[in-house]
Amino acid sequence: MDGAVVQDITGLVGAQRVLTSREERWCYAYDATDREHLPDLVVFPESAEEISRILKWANRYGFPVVPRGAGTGRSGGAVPVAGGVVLVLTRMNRILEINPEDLVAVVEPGVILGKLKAAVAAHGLYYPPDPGSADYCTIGGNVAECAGGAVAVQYGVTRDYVLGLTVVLPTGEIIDAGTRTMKGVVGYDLTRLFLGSEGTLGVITQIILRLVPQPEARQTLAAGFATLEAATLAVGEILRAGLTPTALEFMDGATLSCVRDLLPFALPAGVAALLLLAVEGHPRDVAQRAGGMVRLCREQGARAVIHARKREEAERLWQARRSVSPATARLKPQKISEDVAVPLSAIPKLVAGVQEISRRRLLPILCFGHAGDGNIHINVMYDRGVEGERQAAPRAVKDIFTLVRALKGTLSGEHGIGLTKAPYLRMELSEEAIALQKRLKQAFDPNNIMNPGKIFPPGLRSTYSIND
Amino acid sequence: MVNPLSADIPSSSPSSACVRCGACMAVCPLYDLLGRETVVARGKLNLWDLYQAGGVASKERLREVLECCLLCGACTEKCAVGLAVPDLIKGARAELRVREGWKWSPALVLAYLAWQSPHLLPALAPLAPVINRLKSRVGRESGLAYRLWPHLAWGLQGLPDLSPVPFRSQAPRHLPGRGKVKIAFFVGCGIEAFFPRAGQAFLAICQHLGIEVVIPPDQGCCGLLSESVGERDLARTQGRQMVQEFAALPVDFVVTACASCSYQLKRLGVLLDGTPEARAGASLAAKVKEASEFLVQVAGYRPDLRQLPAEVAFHDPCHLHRGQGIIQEPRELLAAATGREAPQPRELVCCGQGGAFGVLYPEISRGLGAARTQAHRQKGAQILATSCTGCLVQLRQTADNLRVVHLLELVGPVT
Repeated sequence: MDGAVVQDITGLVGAQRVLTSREERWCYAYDATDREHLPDLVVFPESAEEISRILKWANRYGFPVVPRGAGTGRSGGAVPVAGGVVLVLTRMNRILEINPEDLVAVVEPGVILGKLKAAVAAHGLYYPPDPGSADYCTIGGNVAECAGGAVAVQYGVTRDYVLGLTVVLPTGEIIDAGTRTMKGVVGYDLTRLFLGSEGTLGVITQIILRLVPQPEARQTLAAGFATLEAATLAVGEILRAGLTPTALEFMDGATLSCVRDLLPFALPAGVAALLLLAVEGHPRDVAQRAGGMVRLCREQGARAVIHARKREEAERLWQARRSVSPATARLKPQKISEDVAVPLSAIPKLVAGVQEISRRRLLPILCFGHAGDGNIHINVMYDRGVEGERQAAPRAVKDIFTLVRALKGTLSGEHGIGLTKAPYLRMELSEEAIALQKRLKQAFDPNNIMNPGKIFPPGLRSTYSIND
Repeated sequence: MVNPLSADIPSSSPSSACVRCGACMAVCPLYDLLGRETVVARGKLNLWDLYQAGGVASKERLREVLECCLLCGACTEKCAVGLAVPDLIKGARAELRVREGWKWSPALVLAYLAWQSPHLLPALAPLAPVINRLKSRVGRESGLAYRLWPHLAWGLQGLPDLSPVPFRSQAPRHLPGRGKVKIAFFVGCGIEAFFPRAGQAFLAICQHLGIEVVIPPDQGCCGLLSESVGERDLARTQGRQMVQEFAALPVDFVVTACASCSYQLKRLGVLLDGTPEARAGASLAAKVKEASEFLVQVAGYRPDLRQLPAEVAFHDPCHLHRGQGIIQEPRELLAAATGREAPQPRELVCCGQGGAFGVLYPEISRGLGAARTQAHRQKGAQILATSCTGCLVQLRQTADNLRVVHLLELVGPVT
């Protein structure tokens, strides 16, 4: 990148808000994947106007700009694969408004999700989406990736809570999209277009969020089943019975074998799959729904059902769910984690099919996650040092995607395409659909300066580089 | 309990085990304050990987990044793969020291001063009033020393006054017991130089309980500071001195009233691993107890109820609750002494002292310390007790309207 441009940007925001040393820039070269690429400059903007200026320069001088929240994405979206400027939005972290009368909050993109949730809770309000990284990811990243989480079964995902946005377009104009009302049909739904656009269509600088009242009660259940099939069938039964679980998570046998000794309770022998359920709402309604689920799980042959009515008991159960990720490292040093989603009725077939792929590819593959909305996390475990495993892992991933498409599912439920899944885009989208999306991208970003190299299948360039 | 400050991962192990999830950002006190990934574990470990791969251009910048860590271990508690981050950072600092050579820094001066303190302190003691006066002058922002070495001057200014009589000059070498338990008391630099009253309080309790105490005369510094700043060889030398001085003593336990010292001494086996003293170090380490741990678990001490004029809170030193899993013992002692339950949850945030961090980054360090004392005062505390001399130094200088004392000073025998 041209030294004069670096000077211009430094002059704009001040030396305190740029990182130029190679060592500091390296700390913004990655996200939560294993991809990395050194940016030429890291900038911490504080206003839409600053961002606008930088984007105009980007068009004039032709350098890439990559927006970044906390860098916790799971698909490489914030990795500056083409170098250029990383715009770190963590300093734009004000909660501008929490309005209990309108049931909206207006926030800047750098607000940490957990802090936002706590701030609205202080007003008796609730912002439901809850990705696993809630304590450290930013709301801006959530919007750009359309983050999900466990409570999507009842409440939906990030896109269901974003009413409006302020966005700096790649060409530097600052626009508002959407409304601060529940309804709004004026013009194209640009808000939805930005949701999950992975920083390729502009830089989000303000977000109007829809809030709901804080539920009065929450209960948690765990149910252990003798077979994976029994557990996945029970998922279908629970959803069809109209019991409306708030969260419905599951762990398969391979996952359980990893966390068995970390669980806060002894798992009865012969349990090969576990369901974790949460129910939120009015206390009486919660009691009724939870009771119905206990009954249903027993009818479906659950070996053990644990009903946590108290907060601490429940927390222990969710701790077991959270311990999955660290525990997988015991199996193999590397993993490829996918977050496919399939129609609810296809969950048993997906899980059975993945087990078959695991046997065929001779790799441990774990299935766990959001059974209630069909969004299953699949971890292909392998050892980079073992030649056979290193080659088998991407093949297993391709097998899984083929299976998912045969089941009318989607490649990514909540992580996004980014870098890691871009080579597979054609498995889901037709050439015509991809061509239209590229035309859209071009309409927004004629010079392709905004987070280039993401979503669209690449001319496969290397993304690993530790050299300038 | 897994010890988050020191797991079994060798400290030179490659940090590439970091899965980059970013969870450390949720709990790192420095990240919370500074908002830069260079200060958080994920950034540091990935930069270290870059260095290992030969990709770092400025060793100085790398050194600065590694220095900017409190070694508090909060990130390890949150780490998805359980990395012992403080060990990894200390290991990286040591490796950088070996590979890139020595570099003058105020932190090093402090580590060497601590090493020499057993000789220095008795010699300096008669000059204590002069030194204390000089110290406040050196720290003054208009002073020459401040202009030359602002960090050192600021760090010095923050130190409490030197005790006119070092602890070991005022304490007996042997305290006879009544045939129960026999212990050796490890004093440590903090109690020796600044907080002899805490040591006296401990001896008073032992006397009250009839516990025989020996205080070996030639004991040195525990070595925590040297290991923290990357002087691993010096830390090993200090560890060997410890073994020479304490391993052969016919005692049941080696007790210290500073949480950081006990943390370090419990690691003697790890520190001396691969040296001829490894086995002796490990068996000595097994005898080490922190004072509250010893008093509650071994001696069964229950302080008498007394009238305290104020609300007391407890600051959990990182080296105590994370480093040694000691959380309940100090609370039990306080609860018995004050007659009030101590339901206060353990404090998750570091006081900001962080080994030599307070000297290297005085401004940030003070800010963190002030945040702690303010938080306690807002909750109504008028006395803040703690049991690490590093925390004491830090919390004292940032406390307004809050008395900061060593826990043992509040729970001694009522006379």
